[in-house]
Amino acid sequence: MASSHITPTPDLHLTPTLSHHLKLKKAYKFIIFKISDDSKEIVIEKTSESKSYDDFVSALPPTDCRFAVYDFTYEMPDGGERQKLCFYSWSPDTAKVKPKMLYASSKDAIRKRLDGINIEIQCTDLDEVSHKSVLEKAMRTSR
Amino acid sequence: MPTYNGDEVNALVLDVGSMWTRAGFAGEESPYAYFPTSVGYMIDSDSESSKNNKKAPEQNPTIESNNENAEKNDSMDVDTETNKNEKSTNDSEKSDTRLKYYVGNSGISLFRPGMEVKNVLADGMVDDWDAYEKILDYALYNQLRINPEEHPIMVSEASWNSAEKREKLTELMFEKFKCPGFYVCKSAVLTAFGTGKSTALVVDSGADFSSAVPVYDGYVLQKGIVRQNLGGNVISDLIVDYLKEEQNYQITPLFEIKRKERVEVGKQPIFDRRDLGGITDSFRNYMIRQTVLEYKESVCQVLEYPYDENTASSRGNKSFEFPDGFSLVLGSRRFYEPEVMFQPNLFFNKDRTRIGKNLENMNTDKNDENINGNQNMNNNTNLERKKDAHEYMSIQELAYRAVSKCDVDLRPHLLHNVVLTGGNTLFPGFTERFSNELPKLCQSSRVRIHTPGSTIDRRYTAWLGGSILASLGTFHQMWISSEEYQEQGTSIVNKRCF
Repeated sequence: MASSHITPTPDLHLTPTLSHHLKLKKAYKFIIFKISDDSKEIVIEKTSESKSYDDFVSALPPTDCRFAVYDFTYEMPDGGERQKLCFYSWSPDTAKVKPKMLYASSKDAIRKRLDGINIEIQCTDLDEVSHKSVLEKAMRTSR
Repeated sequence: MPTYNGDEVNALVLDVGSMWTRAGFAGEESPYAYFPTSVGYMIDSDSESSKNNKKAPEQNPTIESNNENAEKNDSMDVDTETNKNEKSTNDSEKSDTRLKYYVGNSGISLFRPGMEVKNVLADGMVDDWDAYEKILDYALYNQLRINPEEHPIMVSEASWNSAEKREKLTELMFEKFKCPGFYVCKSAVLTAFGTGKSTALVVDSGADFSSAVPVYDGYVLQKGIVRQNLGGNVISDLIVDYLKEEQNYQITPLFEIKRKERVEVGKQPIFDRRDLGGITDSFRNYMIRQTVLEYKESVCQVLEYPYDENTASSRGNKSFEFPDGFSLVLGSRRFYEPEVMFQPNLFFNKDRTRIGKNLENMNTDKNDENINGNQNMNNNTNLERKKDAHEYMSIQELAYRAVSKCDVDLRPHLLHNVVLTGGNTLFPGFTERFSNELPKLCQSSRVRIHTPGSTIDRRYTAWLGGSILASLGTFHQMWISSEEYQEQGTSIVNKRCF
């Protein structure tokens, strides 16, 4: 496949610790990844423990692309809490072609390093990344 | 030369489309060269006089073209005769080597007696390798002016390109151009990436054909590809037919016009024809297509909702003047021919013949002898359409069928990420109409149509994608190096690039 071969930095011990951090230790609520400025590797840009979904959304740059993992928790209609790890490829229409191209062609590399992702979301605007539409997706996948 | 991350890449990117070829340096934002993917060719008269074993250019020189040659000066006529005689005795393989090719905007659009024009690709794949080589020669040596032995080259290809053709291309790149590295990339993937998506349904409508290609995580899903030869050229043909039948007007391309007078709108043009011998049918047809292209770009539009004369006529008029002075003010008609992309059944029967027409008719209503060949050409395309007995489908159905061929779980992702590209989608209103039509076919899913950048960008989205990818320092591990080619042969391309 035509891939950029931009890979997560070796010292970024993503797997299996990522799922470990998010799911078991609940150390982070979300992690945002970016491609380093020299276009060579994928690095962690930000981690956060904030419970607010809005904080996550506002951490996504409006005119640049990012990868992100969010620990999505929600209540089922019949009660009971569910938890899903969501992987986001954030690529807004307003971003330049170059980052769009870089992120799209590198997605496979980071995705392979991440374990335990339940939902993958390819999003181009705030509507697609909104709590409501992600919840919808999550509900569809959980029985 | 662009340098990235300290690694000097210096790669070249070539995107050979059905109408236009784009060539340039990786890392730049637009292709350096942009020229037609058609070549002009004729018998090289220099070598002809020296060696007398010259032959006719094609295996099928038509009677008409010989007649036209007869109109030329005497010496040329004699040459043609010798060619004909030689043809029966010589084997056909030697013929192509002595053709003289003309490439590029100025090469092809300039009138030369006896020059034929042909497209290098058929159905998105290389058809004539000699001509293709000339296109590459022209792009690399005349336009980019570089030595290909110093630059890795990335070439885009149609998603349905065959394994044999890719191997042949690999061989050409390493053996003839001796490039140090080579990579071939599917243009649908580059378009999807260039729009920021690794999963998308790429709907591409070009001059020759339209296609819908599902891309998942950067891979083309081969079984989901749907395509048909309904594209911009069909619209052009319809426009030529309309002018002929309803306006009683035949387009005269600019190069033939010596002098013209102003005439009132809708009146037959008054002009003097240049006295030119040796105009070939293919050249005239090519030039007429260029005129129609201008017509399409100037006046044609697509309605947001299915064609309706009243709505269309309320959108205002636009006028267009043809090179010979004939001018028209067009109202609702501007919206009619492009409608074929959305409602082909308005124009074509199920066997792809035109509604309300038969082939005999088309041949007899000729009045201008010169344009005979043109007529025959139209006829041929009609016959081809007839041979291909599948009904034309609309562009939205094309997209829908491609989605339906994919796994159920994938469909919502694809429909949510439809990318529209190709020169034929640049009609104002095309995107809006497509966004209205596709959801009607798939009501259960949310449909979202994306178009790459501005309309100018849309002409070379795939090239731009290739440019960014090939400029990455990290991409160097993907190139097929000449060493690897020496070790493994041409088959490496099918292992490395998929």
